[in-house]
Amino acid sequence: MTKADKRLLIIIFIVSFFAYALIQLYFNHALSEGQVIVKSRGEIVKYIHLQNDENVQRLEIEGKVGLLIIEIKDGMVRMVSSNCPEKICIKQGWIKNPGQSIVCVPNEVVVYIDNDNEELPDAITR
Amino acid sequence: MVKTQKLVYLSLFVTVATALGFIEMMLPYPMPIPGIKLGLANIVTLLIIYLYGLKEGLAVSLLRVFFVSFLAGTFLSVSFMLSLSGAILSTLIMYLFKKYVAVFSIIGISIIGALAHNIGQVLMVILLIKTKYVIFYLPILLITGLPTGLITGYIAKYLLSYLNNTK
Amino acid sequence: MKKYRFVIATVLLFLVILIGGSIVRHQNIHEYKSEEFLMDTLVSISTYGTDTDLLKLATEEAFAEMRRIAELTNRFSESDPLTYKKSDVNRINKMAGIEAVTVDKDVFNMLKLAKKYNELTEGVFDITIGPVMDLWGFGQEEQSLPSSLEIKKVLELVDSKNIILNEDLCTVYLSRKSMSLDLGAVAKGYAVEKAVNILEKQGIKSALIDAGGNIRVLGKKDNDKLWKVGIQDPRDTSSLVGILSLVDESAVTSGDYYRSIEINGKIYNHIISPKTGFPVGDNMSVTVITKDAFTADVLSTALFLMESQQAVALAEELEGIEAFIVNADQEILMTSGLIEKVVVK
Repeated sequence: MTKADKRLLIIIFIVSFFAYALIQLYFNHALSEGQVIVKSRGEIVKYIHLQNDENVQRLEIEGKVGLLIIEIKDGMVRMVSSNCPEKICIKQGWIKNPGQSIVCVPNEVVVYIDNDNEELPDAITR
Repeated sequence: MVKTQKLVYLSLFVTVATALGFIEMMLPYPMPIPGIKLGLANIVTLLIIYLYGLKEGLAVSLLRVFFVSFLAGTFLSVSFMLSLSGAILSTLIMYLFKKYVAVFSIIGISIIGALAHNIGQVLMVILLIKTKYVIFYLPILLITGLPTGLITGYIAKYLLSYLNNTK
Repeated sequence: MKKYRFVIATVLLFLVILIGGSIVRHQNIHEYKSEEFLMDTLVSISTYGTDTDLLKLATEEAFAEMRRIAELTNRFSESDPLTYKKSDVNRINKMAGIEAVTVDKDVFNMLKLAKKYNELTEGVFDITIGPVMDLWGFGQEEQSLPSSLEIKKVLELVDSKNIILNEDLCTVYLSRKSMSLDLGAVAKGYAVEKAVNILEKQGIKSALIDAGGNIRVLGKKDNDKLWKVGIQDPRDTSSLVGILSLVDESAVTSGDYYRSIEINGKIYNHIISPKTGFPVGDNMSVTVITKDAFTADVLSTALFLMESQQAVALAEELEGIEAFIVNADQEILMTSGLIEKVVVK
């Protein structure tokens, strides 16, 4: 290993570590009343206001390969069922902070917490 | 080296790479964060770049990605796309760094390759699902890319000196 | 080497200027958002601009105006004599068949327009539906299913032609006894439009009013982007069926899911047809997009009461009116002008 190799190792480690720490810190400070946004194939298909209540909500999402089910509880959301082969999305468990996301690549579905209402419409007529 | 000889050697390498890639697929999945893997097949890519050049490196890694996906039945699937983008980006970057940045040894190049591989995969996910939020996975992916890059780097180094001595 | 340094320095400088400039530009626009419960719904006014004091002032004035309209048009305040007196609608209704009542200019305006739309929609839109609403019990504690005989009797009182307006004296006279006006379908839209007028007068260039789903946008968002207004899925409150891109206009939706009541296991929505005395079932939701919020409110109710195809046809005919309809089969129909404005899910 040359000196340059060692430096590379150290720099990448430090930078990533700090980036990771920053992300965790910043997002853990964020409001817990966020919005869960679900995108399927690039389009927003669901948006749910997250509240810290005990109500358990289950929602169905249509993915490219099949149906997925997410569960919302206590201001957190997770994937409970999906027909994807590797079930990575389910193994990710609960997310609750803006910036966190659960991705099911085969289904092209992303479930994430929106932190600045960037993706949501400005208003909804109903 | 005669053309046919080269072809034979390269085919051997492709086979080895494919085998490695396939074995790696069979290993149990350690962590919930997508994209973490040992990258054993990259050892071969690395060797090819050092023994031959960019063309051969790209050819071998692309063929490896194709063959592994054929064997695993994931041809043209999403994981195929991810492996492809990871392989292309890492091969390219490894070659560029090897050629133009002399300060890095094969270890360093291997680390860079592992990082580039992960970055390539994240970029592909962003492209496919049109979400920018996966960027938040990068720090973790980069950190885990370091040990895998180190390991494959050392293995490649010893293999390289062995090959060079026996040639 | 020296040349490189110069190039890098220039590029960095350029980047700094670019980033700095956009930060400065962005920092200048503030948002002032305020909410109030009015006309039985949550009204929220969001204004954008560089002068926060102006935003606050204008919003306050806008709300004051909305409160004023709400008081004038409130029909259900019999319990509170003070509020009751302030309502022109109550006075008009009380004097039905008796004598003409002097009303506020805005109320007169509302009724004049209501009569115009009554004619335009050939009676589908009719604010004299008060007696029918009362029969059902909408707006009161208990609701019950009226018999067809009761409905028939009460429908005789429904006819906007019996609203006699005197422009010079600014009076309104309901010519038949027991007639009553219900402005529930239109007062919100009118109030919202008046509020926007006030914001405009105060110099506000960018604002969004959300009155329980009645959306009215003023100008552009951040002064350069179109407002994104989603259309709620009538069968799933967490989903959208479409997203509109709006500038200086209004989007109002009438739906069968909002304020419906259940009687003997059957669900009845609160949009009653002035022709049959019953709710209609051809549409799940109708969204009307047009500049004026009052018009949007009126037409969304009117179109909702029509057959889906008829509704689209009428909207298509009318200038400056676009409509987005989800019919009973959950199919989407819309006017041709909407193609560039909406993204359908």
